[in-house]
Amino acid sequence: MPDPSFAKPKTDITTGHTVHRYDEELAKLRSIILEMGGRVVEQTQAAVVALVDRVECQAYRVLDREPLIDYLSLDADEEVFRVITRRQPTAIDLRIVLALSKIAGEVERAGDKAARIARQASELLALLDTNADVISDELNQALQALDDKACCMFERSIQAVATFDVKLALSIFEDEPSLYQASNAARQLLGKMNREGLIPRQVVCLLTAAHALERIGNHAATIAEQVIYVALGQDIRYRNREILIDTLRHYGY
Amino acid sequence: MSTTVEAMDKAMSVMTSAELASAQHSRETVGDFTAAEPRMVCRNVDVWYGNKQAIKNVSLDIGKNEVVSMIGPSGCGKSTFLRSLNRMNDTIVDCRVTGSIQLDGEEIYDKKLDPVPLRARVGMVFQKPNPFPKSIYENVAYGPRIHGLTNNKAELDELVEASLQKAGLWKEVKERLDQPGTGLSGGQQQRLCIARTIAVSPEVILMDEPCSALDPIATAIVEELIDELRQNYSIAIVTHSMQQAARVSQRTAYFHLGDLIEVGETNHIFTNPQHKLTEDYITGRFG
Amino acid sequence: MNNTPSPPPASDAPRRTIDIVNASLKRRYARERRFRRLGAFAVALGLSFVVLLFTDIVSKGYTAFAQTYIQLPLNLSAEVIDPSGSREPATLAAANYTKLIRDALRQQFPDLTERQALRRLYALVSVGAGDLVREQVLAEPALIGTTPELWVLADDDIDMLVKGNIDRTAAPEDRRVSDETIGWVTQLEQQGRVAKRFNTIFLTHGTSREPELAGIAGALMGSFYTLLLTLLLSFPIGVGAALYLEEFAPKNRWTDLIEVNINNLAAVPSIVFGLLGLAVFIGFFGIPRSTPLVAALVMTIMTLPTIIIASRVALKSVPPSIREAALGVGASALQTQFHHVLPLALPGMLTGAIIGMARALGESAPLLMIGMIAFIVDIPSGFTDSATVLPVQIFLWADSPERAFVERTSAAIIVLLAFLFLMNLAAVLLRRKFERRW
Repeated sequence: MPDPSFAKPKTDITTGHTVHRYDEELAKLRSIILEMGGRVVEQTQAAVVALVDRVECQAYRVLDREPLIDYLSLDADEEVFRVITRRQPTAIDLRIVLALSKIAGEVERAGDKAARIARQASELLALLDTNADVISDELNQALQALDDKACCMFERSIQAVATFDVKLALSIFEDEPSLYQASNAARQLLGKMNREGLIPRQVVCLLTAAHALERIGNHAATIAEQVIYVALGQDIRYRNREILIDTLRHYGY
Repeated sequence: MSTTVEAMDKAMSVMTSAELASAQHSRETVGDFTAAEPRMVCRNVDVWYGNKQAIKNVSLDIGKNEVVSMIGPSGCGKSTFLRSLNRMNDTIVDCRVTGSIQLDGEEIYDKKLDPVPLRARVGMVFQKPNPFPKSIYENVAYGPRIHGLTNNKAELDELVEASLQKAGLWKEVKERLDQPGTGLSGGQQQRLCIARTIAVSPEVILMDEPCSALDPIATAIVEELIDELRQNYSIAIVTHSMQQAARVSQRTAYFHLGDLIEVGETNHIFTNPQHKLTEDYITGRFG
Repeated sequence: MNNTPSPPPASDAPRRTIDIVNASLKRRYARERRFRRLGAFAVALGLSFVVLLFTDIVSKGYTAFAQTYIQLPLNLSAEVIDPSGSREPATLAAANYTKLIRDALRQQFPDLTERQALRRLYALVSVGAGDLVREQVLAEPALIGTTPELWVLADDDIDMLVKGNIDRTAAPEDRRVSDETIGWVTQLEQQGRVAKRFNTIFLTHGTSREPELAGIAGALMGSFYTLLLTLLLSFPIGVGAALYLEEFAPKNRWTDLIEVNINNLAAVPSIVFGLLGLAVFIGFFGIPRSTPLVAALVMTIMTLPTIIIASRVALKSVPPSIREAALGVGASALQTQFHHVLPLALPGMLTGAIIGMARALGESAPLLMIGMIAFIVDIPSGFTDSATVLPVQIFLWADSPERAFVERTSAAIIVLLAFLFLMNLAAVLLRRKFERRW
């Protein structure tokens, strides 16, 4: 028997407050988070380019830009305080503000992961000078696949925040197994790599980067949880994912 | 031809067309309107002012030791519903109440039931503090006196003191019981009215926007008092302040154009209401 | 819009609101000043009329509170008054005091012997002077046997002469007093035997054909009994009716009809109430005419609409929150009314009642219809004695030809106004007392 509390008519949540400033304040908060999300995707891709295509300047670019995301998250926090003190949000507005506050944290941490990848890339490149072409194409492809998966999930999670779209959020949950698959594949390759003459330090760098990519995918899933919390009013953290996916599908998402 | 007219006439004699039109629009209530230990049980209550239906098929319980708040936009019928609970609407010409309202299993709109003792059992606190233009003592003593609740002056004194204590006013007024109740501040006046209501030991207390004329501090004191009174009484409160409903009540009922749209745990209503109208109203998207 | 070309604006900048406001401000203030002046003028006009009325009445009437007396040595010998020496009041009352006064007058003018001239001389004193001396002797029997200098009431013509209302220098045929009489009065004045003393008769006696003997006590008591009974009847009935109509009566066509009729009754000319009283109370119920009782019944019907309307307004002005408060603690409808609404409405009701009473006090037309116009000398001592009332008395006196009645009419009006003023004062005081009930 599916949980009936998921059956909730969709409300138009983006506009319609009697006080129009309220709408604007919520929109501003959301736009900050969307901008953060966009930057995180960009950063991640740039960091992976630095790692896989060995473009060192990209790694430094990522590290330079990282504080921007931190500042945006400070802005988001401030906006959250402002909305709470001014409007005392209730019901869906309360959920939006709470969720956006949490999502801002998630996005900021995803940004940290991108920086971490960039840092690993620059370290790896410094170590690669002596023996070039040690990293096989196979490993590069595996990392690229993991990156594609994580970035795709993260991008979609940010899109889901833009409209609090349950369907998109659901598709992120559905993608989680393939994320873990990609991550496992990369890890397994790295385990084998040792024979190819990578020094342990390089393996750790690559492993850390792969783990960071997986974490970015996890952040995307957490954001998707918050999106569903906003749209349906149900806190679905720590629930069994498969049952959850089935339930949501049952209600036509 | 003539038969159609007759049929229409017959229909009209039962219900006018206006009544028919508005009766059709009664909406289903979302949420559980029953209480675990009900004191007042209202089922399918309709209230009419002449041809206008103010309350449409409302069912709601008021449970023991709970505060039920009623919210909704102006003219949604929440005050009308509240006033039908102690037959205060009887004083309004043209006002009709149908359906069943029971107090401890007793039908209050029964023809045999006298509204005067009913109002002693279901007390009421009004929007504007309305102490009698008499002394503080007389204000509180009036109810017990007309109902003959005490046998002598000493008992009456005791009851007045106890009532003022319960209303949290005793410390402030014990030195000046003989002074006019109208000389108190707004918040004190409202607490005096509450003391006057509880002096006749009602079972249920109805409050019609009790804080709308008070400043935030006085409001906070009255809200604190409401929370304390919950230990001994059932309370139904109509309020325009959603924050107040969220603060003082355990259950919240949302009224819209005479319909009871949604009832539920206050926490639930204010974080995740089920009906779109409720959501729109409490998030400020109304109109 | 004026067609003259307006001067070009000083600058291209749009005119600010404050400039537009300032431009029109002068006109607005001027209009305000004009309106205020108009109001002040209206008040001044009204006040001047009142002052004119009061000065006219007071200047005409204040002399009535003094009365001319002639001092005569009356020989109250025991042989004449009380030959038996028993000092029985009956005997004392039976004596001819008029003769004593005439003897005393003759002594003052010993030269006069002709009968016609003596008769004119006797006319110096009032025809009621003997009765007044009798009252004095009965009150003070010790006077018997002495020859006291007593002040004897002068005739109204002499009174007028002394007060200067008759011009001594006018042609003899233009005045009511002959040269001969003026000579006698002048002689008495020179002897210091003529004086104006406070007119107690005016305040203690009933009316009379003789102005110097006429008083307003009868009318005053008639008014008092009438008003007392009117108040006792109309206030409870009026308040009761108002309370029922306002608070208890169902709102339907019948009560609407009643309300319209009450308002109409308030506008009915008072003479109609007199006709009604004549037909119903005197004609049908056979209540004796010209009594305070029937007058009070008529006045009750007349003042009821006023009291009912005022009382309903007073009840309406009681805030509904008080009714709700009382009903909310479980008071019955009657308890609500009597414990809370009525005490708050009472000041307004009292004001209405006193305004009604003031109207009743000043009313004369309906009373003419029920016989209050009868000439009644005795002071009424109850509700069923024949009586007249102040306004009717004023009407009667104003109709009398004697010159001395003019000042008495004005004096009676002064008394009437004084009572109206007292009643209004009472209304104000009562309202103030009841408005602060702690």
